[in-house]
Amino acid sequence: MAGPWQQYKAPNGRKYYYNVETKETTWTNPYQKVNVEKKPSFVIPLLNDWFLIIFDNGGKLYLYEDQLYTRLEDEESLELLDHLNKDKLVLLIGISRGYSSLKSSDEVYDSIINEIESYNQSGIDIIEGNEITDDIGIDDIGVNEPLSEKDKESPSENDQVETMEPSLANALIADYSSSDEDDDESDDDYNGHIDKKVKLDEEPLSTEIDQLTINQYKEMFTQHKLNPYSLWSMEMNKCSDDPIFFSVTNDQDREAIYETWCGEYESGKEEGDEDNKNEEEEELIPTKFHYLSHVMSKSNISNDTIFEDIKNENKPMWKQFRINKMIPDKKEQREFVTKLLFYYKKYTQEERIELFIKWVKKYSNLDQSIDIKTLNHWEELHSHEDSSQKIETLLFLMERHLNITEILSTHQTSICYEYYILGIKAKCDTLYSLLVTDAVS
Amino acid sequence: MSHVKKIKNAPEGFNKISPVLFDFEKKLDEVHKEKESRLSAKSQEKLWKIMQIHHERSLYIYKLYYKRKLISRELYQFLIKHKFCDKHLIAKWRKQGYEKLCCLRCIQSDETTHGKTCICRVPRAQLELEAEKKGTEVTFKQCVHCGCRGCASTD
Repeated sequence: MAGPWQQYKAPNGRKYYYNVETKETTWTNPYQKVNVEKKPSFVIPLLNDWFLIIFDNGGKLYLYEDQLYTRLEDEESLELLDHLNKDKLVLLIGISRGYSSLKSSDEVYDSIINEIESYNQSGIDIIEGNEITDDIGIDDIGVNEPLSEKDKESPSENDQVETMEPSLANALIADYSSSDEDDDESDDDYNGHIDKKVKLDEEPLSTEIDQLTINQYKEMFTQHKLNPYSLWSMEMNKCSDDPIFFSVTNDQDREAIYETWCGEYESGKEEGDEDNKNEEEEELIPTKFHYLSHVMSKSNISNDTIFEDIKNENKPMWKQFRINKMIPDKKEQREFVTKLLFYYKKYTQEERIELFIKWVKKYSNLDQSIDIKTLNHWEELHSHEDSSQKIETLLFLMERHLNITEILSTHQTSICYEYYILGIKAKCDTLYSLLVTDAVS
Repeated sequence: MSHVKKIKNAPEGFNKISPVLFDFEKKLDEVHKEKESRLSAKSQEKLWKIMQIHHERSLYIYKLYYKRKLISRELYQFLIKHKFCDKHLIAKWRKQGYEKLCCLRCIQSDETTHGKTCICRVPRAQLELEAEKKGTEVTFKQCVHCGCRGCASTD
């Protein structure tokens, strides 16, 4: 077989086709010229063994000696088509596309067949009224533009549209417009009709529903106050008048959206509550090594102290501050304590305070000045708490103001040791005095 | 007297779902009042309708508890106790491959002659493929046990 498509047999014996280049597989023969997806719904016999076939997607082809053509190449049949009632043909096409009409499809089809027969009987004499075809030819020009739009929608139907559609399209106007029967209908109006048609075409194509429609749908449910404790079959009546309701065409999809909406109905409320709680907690989250440094400042440090000494000495505190939870990595704990021990052993309290001030000036945004009022306000706010707790909250507030919390979480730990070389109380006092002097100056 | 309305001391949240349960009960009542067909071929159809409504009601409660998570465990167990739903069927729905199971009898393999499950458990696509091989149409419409038209998970 020539070309990229190769024929293979599936295990069940059915033939399938495989594209060597794009690695696609398909059941249908890609070399077959006629689109297999559409099924013929009506066959109308024309003259000289020509047949007009109308497909269920509204397209049409001509059949002559078991070959399908997009163009009608028989003159007599062309003339016959011109003399047929266009409204009926259009109606037939509409029915095959799924348009429900008052007349049954058989009735329309029979009347067309009758018309053809009467035409055949009366002979070719009638054809002499050639003016009619001329009229249609003039109309073609006016219709051309909207037609091209339609062609874009269905390039496969291009050719067949050319032969017959101009006259049919004319009839389409009369069919769709309910109030006006003027032949000189403006193009704008016509476009409107075409747009509607195009939309109808697109809807069944969208098998996947995008998030936007789903959200819109859920909003609609909330608007119509659907009961999440009920069944879809009962609730759908409440919102079926809404135009959004039809943005999803498949009822199974609709039900699925309803189910998810019901699930979110309760959880939506709970989530909101949780968010609030988180925000409150977030206000005062201690930095990672906050408590470990606090433990260090409380312990006795001599020249030969190591990590294990501190851990053993302060076991109750270790538990109390949940240090293992804050710093799950034991290696990190050890590294941090060893580094801090170096500072504690080498420098005195005063020297450490100096180092601390240097660090704060270097990294934090001290320039962002603060009112003494806010400082006092902070102090007042927490005056009812016990002294140690008050100091801690005050420290957290100052840390947040100076952007230290963020620096500590984003930077590498190696930079941050100097921030932890003081106990909580000393740290708080130094920061406070720093801020106060800053505010005063 | 309605079974739903008779219930007292129900856990919290029962009044929210009771209108739906009442609706199901009405449907069951209507089926009950219908006359049974005398044709032996159609004699099962009334039973099928009852099975279907019961299936729908079980599905409703299953979705309320497991999917929407709108009712408490207490209420769910209360509903099971008062036989508003089939707990064995719900237990099956939670297993993979049984998401759409119609009734328990359809997977009861030791009641059938060849030790296999009901035909409604066979995926529709497979039925069609087999029919195509033989060159016939798919003859299966509804199963005899519960009137199921196919309950494979892929359907």
